[in-house]
Amino acid sequence: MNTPHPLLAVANLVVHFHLFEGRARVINGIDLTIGRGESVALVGETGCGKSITARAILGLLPSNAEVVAGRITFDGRDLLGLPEEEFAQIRGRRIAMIFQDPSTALNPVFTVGEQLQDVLRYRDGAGGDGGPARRRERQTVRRRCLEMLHLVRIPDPEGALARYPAELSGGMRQRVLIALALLQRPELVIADEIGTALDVSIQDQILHELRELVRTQGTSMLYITHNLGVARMVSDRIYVMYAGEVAEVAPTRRLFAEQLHPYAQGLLAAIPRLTGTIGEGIEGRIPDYVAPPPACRFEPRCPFRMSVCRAVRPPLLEVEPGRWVACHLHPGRRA
Amino acid sequence: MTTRILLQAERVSKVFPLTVGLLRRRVGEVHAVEDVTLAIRAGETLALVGESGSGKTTLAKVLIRLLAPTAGSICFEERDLTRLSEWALRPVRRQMQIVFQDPASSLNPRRRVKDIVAAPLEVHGIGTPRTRLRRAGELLERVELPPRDFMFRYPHALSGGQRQRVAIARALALEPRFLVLDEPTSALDVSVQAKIVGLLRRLQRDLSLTYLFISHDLSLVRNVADTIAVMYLGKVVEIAPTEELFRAPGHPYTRALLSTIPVVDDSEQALVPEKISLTGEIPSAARIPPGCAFHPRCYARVEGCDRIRPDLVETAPHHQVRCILYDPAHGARGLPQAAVPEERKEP
Repeated sequence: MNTPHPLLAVANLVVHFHLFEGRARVINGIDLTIGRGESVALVGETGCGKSITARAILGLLPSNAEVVAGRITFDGRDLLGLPEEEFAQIRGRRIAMIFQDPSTALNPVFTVGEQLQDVLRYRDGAGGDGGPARRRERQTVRRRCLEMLHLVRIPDPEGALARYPAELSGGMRQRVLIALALLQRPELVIADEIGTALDVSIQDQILHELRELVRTQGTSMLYITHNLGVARMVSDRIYVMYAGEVAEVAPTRRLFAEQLHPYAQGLLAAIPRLTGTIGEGIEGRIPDYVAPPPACRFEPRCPFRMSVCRAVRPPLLEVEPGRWVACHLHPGRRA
Repeated sequence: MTTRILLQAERVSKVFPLTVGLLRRRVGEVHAVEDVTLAIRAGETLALVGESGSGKTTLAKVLIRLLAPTAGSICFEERDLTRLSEWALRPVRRQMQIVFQDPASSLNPRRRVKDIVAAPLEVHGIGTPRTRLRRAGELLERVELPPRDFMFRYPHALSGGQRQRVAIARALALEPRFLVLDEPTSALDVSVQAKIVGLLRRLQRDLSLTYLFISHDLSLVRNVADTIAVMYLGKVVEIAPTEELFRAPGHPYTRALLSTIPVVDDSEQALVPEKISLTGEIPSAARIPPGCAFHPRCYARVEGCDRIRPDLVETAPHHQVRCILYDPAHGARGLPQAAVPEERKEP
């Protein structure tokens, strides 16, 4: 949105789900960009469509989902029209995903080493049957895996290679998943709520290390979370999502200093503070996607609703440089 | 702080045997809770905080006698629960109820809300079906769910927040004085969490309830607790009034825990101690390190930490710390600021 040649650009993405109850309009026109080396957080509550957005980018939508409109471009190439063989060249290699649950994302019957080495061998195409070239290649693969485990600060990487996931703690498994995703030096890493299954002290370590890795390797990151405190730690820019739409986009520091969208305001106010205050929370619940509110999807819960909010959908407009809001209270650029 | 003590735990421990095979050969022990002494005053909220595996839930279950302690005594309203028979416990049990973390799994999916809420009355043989129905309506009213809309629904037709309200209504059915809230909001979104916290506060005020609030979220605990007990590997390592704990954390573990709280604004950031990143992870409760259980991860350890088991030492009124740095017998040096080695500070 503010970068001229972003690494990833999602434009007006619309995704519907075919359910028994009818057509669920889950993603309702999302715009999102990630620049090279930029860390972007996608924040929202349960059911707001943040994970669906990530799946759409990776071409991993479930079979009852339909992309109705929109474009997803990665490094100038349209991902939506891409045949599966070509997508397979990008997914996992140039765009990698770090999954949420470290206890289910690893295969329990293979060692950590086998799972890491598999990723590299698959890329290089399992070639040859023995011979010195093969042995040399195995050596390089092993070295690269050890290097990666070292980077994600696994103590005793040699030993870890020979272990099964069940022999590792939750924090170590999460580190292995990060190593797995970064192994092929992807240009974009998508992290879905990583660390939320872990204790705060471990979560803090892992998030800092991930942030550092992303910075030193020049990788871009899309970080999906419901926790604004976590988003503040890891991101340069934040997208606040509500009910399948982008409510507000702002550089991280500015969003925490001031929220313009009433939903972003309510969400921040609801967070318990160390200063000893906790807000009221937001009335109501996320709308039914089969029959969503006609115009602004937040209108039924909004404390500032006006008659126009039921009639006209507020477009996402730039109100200050780098700051975008979809709300009738903020009609376009102030400056 | 001068109010009556409702529950007093004295040197409570809970050890689970580790067994193998058909004959349950004993191969070891898990010290889930060790030597816990604490008092909960009537009308206050005591929070138990700590990482997963620190024994918070086990301690709570022992305190309300869902589990029998292996050592120690628990006095509730001046009666020693550890000496009462199951039969004699029954009337006491009505006084203490628990709300679990995940309302999706703690509500029977095949029963309607009215039956779920009235179930404790049924179990204790209180009232007739008619009076129980009326009471269920009152209880739903209490948790701010309009009875007309909710009585006849099944749990699947409720949102997460509504389900937790139903679980709270059920816990209130027997008019308890003491509620254990085991991570009551950790499965909920923040906007819903704020609503539930508001409700719990109103209920505490209106019904003079005493809460034991289990959480791993220190920012949340800051807002709900009068007193905080920090647990590490089954032991209470520090206990203090909330303000005091945040102002002057004593135990090295507490200080590290406070330093990693993700915060959302600068006024909060000022309240977070200088960053201390702990290395390593919490060990298994079946292999608790000798001496102070925290010493392998401790950045302030001194000679003796790997041998001497520290006791809780009072460092200020109502503020106790389990660390030899505060023990007069070992010099009571306190935790020096410079105890944080250079390389562990964040840049």
